[in-house]
Amino acid sequence: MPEQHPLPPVLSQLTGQLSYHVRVLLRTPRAVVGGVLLPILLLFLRNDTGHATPLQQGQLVAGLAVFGAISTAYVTHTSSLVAARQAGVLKRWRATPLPPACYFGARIAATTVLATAGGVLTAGAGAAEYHIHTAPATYVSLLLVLLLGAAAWAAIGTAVSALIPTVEAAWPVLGVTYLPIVVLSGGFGTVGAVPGWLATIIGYLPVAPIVHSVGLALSSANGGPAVSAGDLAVLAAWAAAGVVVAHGWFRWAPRSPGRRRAGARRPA
Amino acid sequence: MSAIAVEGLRRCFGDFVAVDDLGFEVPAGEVVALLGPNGSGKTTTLEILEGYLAPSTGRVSVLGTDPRRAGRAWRARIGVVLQSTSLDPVLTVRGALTVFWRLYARARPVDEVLDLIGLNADADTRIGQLSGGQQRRVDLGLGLIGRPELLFLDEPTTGLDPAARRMSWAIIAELASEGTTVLLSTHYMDEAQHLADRLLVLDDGRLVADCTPAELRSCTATSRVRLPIPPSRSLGDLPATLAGNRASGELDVLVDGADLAAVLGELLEWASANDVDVAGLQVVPPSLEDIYLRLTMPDRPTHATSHA
Repeated sequence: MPEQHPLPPVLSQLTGQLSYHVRVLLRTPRAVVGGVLLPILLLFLRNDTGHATPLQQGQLVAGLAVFGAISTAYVTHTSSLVAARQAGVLKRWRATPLPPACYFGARIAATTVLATAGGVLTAGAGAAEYHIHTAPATYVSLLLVLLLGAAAWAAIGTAVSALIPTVEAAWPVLGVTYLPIVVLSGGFGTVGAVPGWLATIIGYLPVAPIVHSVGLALSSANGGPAVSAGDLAVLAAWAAAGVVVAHGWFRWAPRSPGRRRAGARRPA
Repeated sequence: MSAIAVEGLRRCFGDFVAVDDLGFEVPAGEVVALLGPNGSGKTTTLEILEGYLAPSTGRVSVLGTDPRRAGRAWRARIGVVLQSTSLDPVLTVRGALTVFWRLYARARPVDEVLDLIGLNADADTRIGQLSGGQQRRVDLGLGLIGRPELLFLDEPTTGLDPAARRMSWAIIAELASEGTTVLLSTHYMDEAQHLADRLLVLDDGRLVADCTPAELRSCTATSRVRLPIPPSRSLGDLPATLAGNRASGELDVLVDGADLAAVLGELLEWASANDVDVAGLQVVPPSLEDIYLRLTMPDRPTHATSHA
């Protein structure tokens, strides 16, 4: 029996993975464009400085900051996960001594950090554009809610990735599952009247609570901490549900089309 | 102790039996090639041994452990190179190797791996900008960076140009000389012959041969008879038993050993009667590919084998 060597500590593997995933994300154009450039561009294109009330302006900035953060945490994260599975990258990781929790923990953490940074950048740009007073405590509140919101969406995306067979199928699934919710939740500004039952449902989906709490933080002119405990509870519940479902459903390897069709070739 | 022990292995996908009643052992330090046509069960077998798939029935032991129940310590002892390139294209070669280097307690230094795979000059190039052959070498580098005791290679040189294949062979041969057990699947007979101590030939999910390349040659008593024929010479009057095909100015017939004397007699008689020069007549043992094709395509005729 060959000599056994102790494996590197899990913490060092976790930090190594975190740095690796951050590097990969920063080199992914979709993450930078969809998470930061597009929301800021939309912010300036929607310039409502002359017409909107301060509350509406705060709502618009919050909505676009959240849109950018979710774009990174959900769309970029999930589609790149599907692409990695399709290319065999996940399968290769599975054959290494890296604990799966390290891989996913670091991947979700990297996504969450970059999505939050993008959201804060958009909020900062919006605050400058609309002359919204921002105190340091505003950013603490923003960070808290964006971190939890991005983590929830990254966890949901990890779970949803199990349902998406190929990269080509990723955008239709992701677009349909997040864009309507973002619009109805005020991600692109205040929406008109919606039926009460729909408003209730939207309130429990993981966009409206982020938009609401980010808006609350931006409109907190006195600079005090301003987040809703109810919003945080909803986001925490979605994050937990995403982790549980991902743990049960996740696939490391792509489905093999050859094997699916194989039954016709040779009976047992 | 065997590095790999497989007994009564069967794996079904619905009604389809991908691997059926497979049994073999691979002693530590041996290089074994898994051969077989597409769909013969090579990749399924490898995936079961690597722990990706569970067997439907049967027993599998890899480095003394059931791969489905193996933990991190077991994974640190194996290396895997998958059938297709599986790399993050946005990382540099050095970046990818460094990320994997962190995972192992006694990993090879990154510079040593760069030397081995011959990509020192491209160490800081993004993987997405490398050629297919270079990417495959990075794949191989990631598979061996942890100094695996057992390396699984699934068609490691498919699609590579001859120079890149030779380089991959040299890397695999070096690992073998260090005592690494290697199980590789391949379509290339020359690769199997060059690298493997032993061949396992699969067909339709079943093991049809388990022997050394030399044994495989000797277990089929066939020979190849070659006779150069002038391009203008018609073969219409050739006896039916010699009904081989002429290609590249040569009559090329695969003959069962027991019939060799009779076939040669007929051929010489025909040559004498038709004034054909027999100075270039050759009787050679069959290539490994001939034998492989006979094993996996048993209906293929022995006589009258066409060879371009």
